[in-house]
Amino acid sequence: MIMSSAATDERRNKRSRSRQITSGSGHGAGSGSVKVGVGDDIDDGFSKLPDDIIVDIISRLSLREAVRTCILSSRWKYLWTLSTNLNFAPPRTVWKPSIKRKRNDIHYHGRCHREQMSKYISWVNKILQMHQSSNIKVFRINCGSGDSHNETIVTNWIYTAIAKGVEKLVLDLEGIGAKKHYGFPQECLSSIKYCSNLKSLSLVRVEVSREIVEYFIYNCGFLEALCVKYSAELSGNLKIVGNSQQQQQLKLKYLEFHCCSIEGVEINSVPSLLSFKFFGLEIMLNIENVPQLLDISVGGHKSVRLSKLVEPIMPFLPQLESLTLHLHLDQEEVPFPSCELPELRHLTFQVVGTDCKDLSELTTFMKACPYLQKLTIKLVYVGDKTRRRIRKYRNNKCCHEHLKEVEFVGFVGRPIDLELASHLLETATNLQKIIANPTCIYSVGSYYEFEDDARKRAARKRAKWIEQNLPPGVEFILL
Amino acid sequence: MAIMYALKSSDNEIFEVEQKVIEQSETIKKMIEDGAATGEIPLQVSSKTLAKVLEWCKQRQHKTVENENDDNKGKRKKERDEDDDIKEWENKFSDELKADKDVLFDLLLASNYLDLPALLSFLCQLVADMVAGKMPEEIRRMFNIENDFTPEEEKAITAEHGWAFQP
Repeated sequence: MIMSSAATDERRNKRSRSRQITSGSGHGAGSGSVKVGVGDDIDDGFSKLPDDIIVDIISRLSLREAVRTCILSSRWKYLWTLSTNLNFAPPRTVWKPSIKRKRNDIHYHGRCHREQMSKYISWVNKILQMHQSSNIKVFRINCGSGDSHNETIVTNWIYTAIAKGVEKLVLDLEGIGAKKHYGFPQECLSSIKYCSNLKSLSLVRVEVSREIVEYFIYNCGFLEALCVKYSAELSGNLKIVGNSQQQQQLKLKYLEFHCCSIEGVEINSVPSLLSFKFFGLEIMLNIENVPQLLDISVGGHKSVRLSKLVEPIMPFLPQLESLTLHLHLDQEEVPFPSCELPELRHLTFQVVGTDCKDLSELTTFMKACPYLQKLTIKLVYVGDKTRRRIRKYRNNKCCHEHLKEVEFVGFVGRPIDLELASHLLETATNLQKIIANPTCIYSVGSYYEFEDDARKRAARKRAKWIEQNLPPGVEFILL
Repeated sequence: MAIMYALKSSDNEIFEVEQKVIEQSETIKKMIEDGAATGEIPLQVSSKTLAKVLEWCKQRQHKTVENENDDNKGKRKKERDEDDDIKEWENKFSDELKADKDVLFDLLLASNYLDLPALLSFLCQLVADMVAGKMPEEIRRMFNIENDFTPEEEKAITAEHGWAFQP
């Protein structure tokens, strides 16, 4: 492969200073309009910049946009191969099946999936082959890992990322037709200690044991963010305990566990911790000595008693700036805080609700948050075909004077959310904005997010009701 | 009394600046520590660009000084109130740079030379935001980049990375 000299002589970590610094006012002239092609002196701003600054800029683009810069000019041809950002979000060409569907072809989806996987793998491998930089910041894999022979490929990717000193590693292995999840390889343990740069680790649909997770926590001295989702293998009692005696203190800021089999989480003496998110079983939560904690999210499936998860976090409520609670309206009552939440600015409720329920209980919780600025309702609507009119909430005269923004995600425009909207339009005297997003909360951020369907269109139609009842000064945004 | 330093731009203009403001620049800090900076500190930066650099440094300076004196809670509250102000200031700053790309690129070089990582990163992000979502032809036009490929070469490159060029 022919490499431009610009790309080959890179490999420096530090920026060379002052090499090409501007010399006074000389370059001010002739900007903008005219192209002067005198020798190498092309009149574009980038020609003044050293390669490493351009690489810094390229690394802030998506991989697709980064690769696309190769066509700008010969200088740019290989600069993208030094990008420190390898976020392998699958392009459209990977998703589009080339196989034609025949009648009664029951294996069609399976074959499509296999085709997608092999396309994805060869795409990633081709880019990795061209990639020149020996250090990277972001490495993100987003694919399914169906067959066992793909597992070695994924494992090799992990080794590549580690070898390039990855700072943020994301494995999101959404197996569309996968029979089982990819298991994080035990033999990687010995190389984890080389992850000295690792700041953020996110494992989604990757089976990972508690030993490995704890190994990461205690051996990667710079680890700030840890997120594990959908790992059945992650079980037992997870201990995240800092040691103030030790020189090496935990630097964790963000912790998230979603749908794992953990039975207990103990967090103690992690002074850097800012955010803790948990969704899963009814577990033993034990949180102590986290003075900076300001964001909590808890909840679980229908069988989980929310109060069991809320109780252990009660002592931290007064210091929280944002809080998310997952509720099942027909299951139990909204836990009412035993104290005020004076710091709380953003409150989110993820609610599973039916037509016959209303959301008035949420407003009682809001009463305990005098300085609330933003309310987000994520509604998982379970239609039960109960027909009822929009009712006014009773005995609820509380005024939310700091509330500026209300956002509905999974908006359906039925009495359940319209009532709350109407109530807030009356009681939130300084409201600036209402956002209604009819996208189902589970498809937000997914491939299907912007697909239009009848349900969304119907919700948008019903949203007119809010528009008609909008007081002056309030903006209504319908997505 | 704050210690003042005199910075001299490449076109011989003098800027009087507080030590705390210019010490954000590792390059200048080193020059001061090495004792190279008695009297005027000569810099290879034009006055127009240097004025912009100092505008940035002063804005940053306000933030760090005020926060040092507060306890945790007060700090957080203050940060929250200030965040909006800073955002507004940054928006104005970047709008000016977008309008005058010469200054933008000179500032990029200056932030690199003066070792101001926060400014460098801010500017790189600004350029990246300008480039993002645009097709190559638009980017070339926006920054006056001369396309020195022959049509055949261009075709070959587009074919090699077909996935990146499809809409």
